[in-house]
Amino acid sequence: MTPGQLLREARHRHGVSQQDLAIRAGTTQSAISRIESDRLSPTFQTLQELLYLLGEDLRLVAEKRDAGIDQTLIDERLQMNESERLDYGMAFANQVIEMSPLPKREGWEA
Amino acid sequence: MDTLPPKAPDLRRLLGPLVSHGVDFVLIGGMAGIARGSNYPSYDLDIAYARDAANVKRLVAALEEIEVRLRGAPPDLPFQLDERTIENGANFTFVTPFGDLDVLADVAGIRSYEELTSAAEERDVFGYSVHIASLSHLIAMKRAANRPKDRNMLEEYLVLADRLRRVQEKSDRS
Repeated sequence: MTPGQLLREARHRHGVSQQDLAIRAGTTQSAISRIESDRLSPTFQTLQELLYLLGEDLRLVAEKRDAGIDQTLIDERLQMNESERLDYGMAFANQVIEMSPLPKREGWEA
Repeated sequence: MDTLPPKAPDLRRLLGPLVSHGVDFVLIGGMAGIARGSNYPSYDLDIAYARDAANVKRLVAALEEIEVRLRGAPPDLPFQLDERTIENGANFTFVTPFGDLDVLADVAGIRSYEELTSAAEERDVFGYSVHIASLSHLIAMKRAANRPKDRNMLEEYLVLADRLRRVQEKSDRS
């Protein structure tokens, strides 16, 4: 969700027009419009103030991201020492090269 | 990547001359990531090297032994492997009988070689003592490179860093 979407949804929840919010914030309707349409990226403080003026708090939350990384594979590698990991890496790369549809260079020529 | 090398690099054959000639280098790139625990395959060996004259001399000797040639260069392009060539350039991508080797002085995302090497850890790799870049520096390099594959690897490195931290904390408690 963008800051603009966040603000627009909050404003709609409270039934406040862009013009009314602009008045509350001492700014212009066009500034509110630019923020809501993501043409203007507000600072955290600006967005916090606008949401405050709608009766809502803006909280910064840092959450663990699910990047889809298979942690069991990482755990397997961490059971190995560096040389074993690199041996595994070379063998794996060779498997990928063998199976890949991409063209391979001939020999070791440049 | 438009083409793949015919096979993965033979790290024993590439690291051996670098270590035996006393080259001051740090293992970086995908192989360093693998050494740290990554599961992403890598098809070349990347190293960062110190730029001082004595080290460049040692590097040239090692590269001669490895029999490097420029990768992707026209066959008729002359390439004189000597200290002047290395000093006049910075980053070189080579093809060798033992796989692809990238030799870098300027590494995107890294402020200085000194910073890189000071955070690197010395590890035994196939019987050689090798400095491996810190996971934080590998993360910085992936962030700077920012290609799709780098972003994927960056995500894995972040998870790996978390995992390693937890392993360390568990070890510290026991």
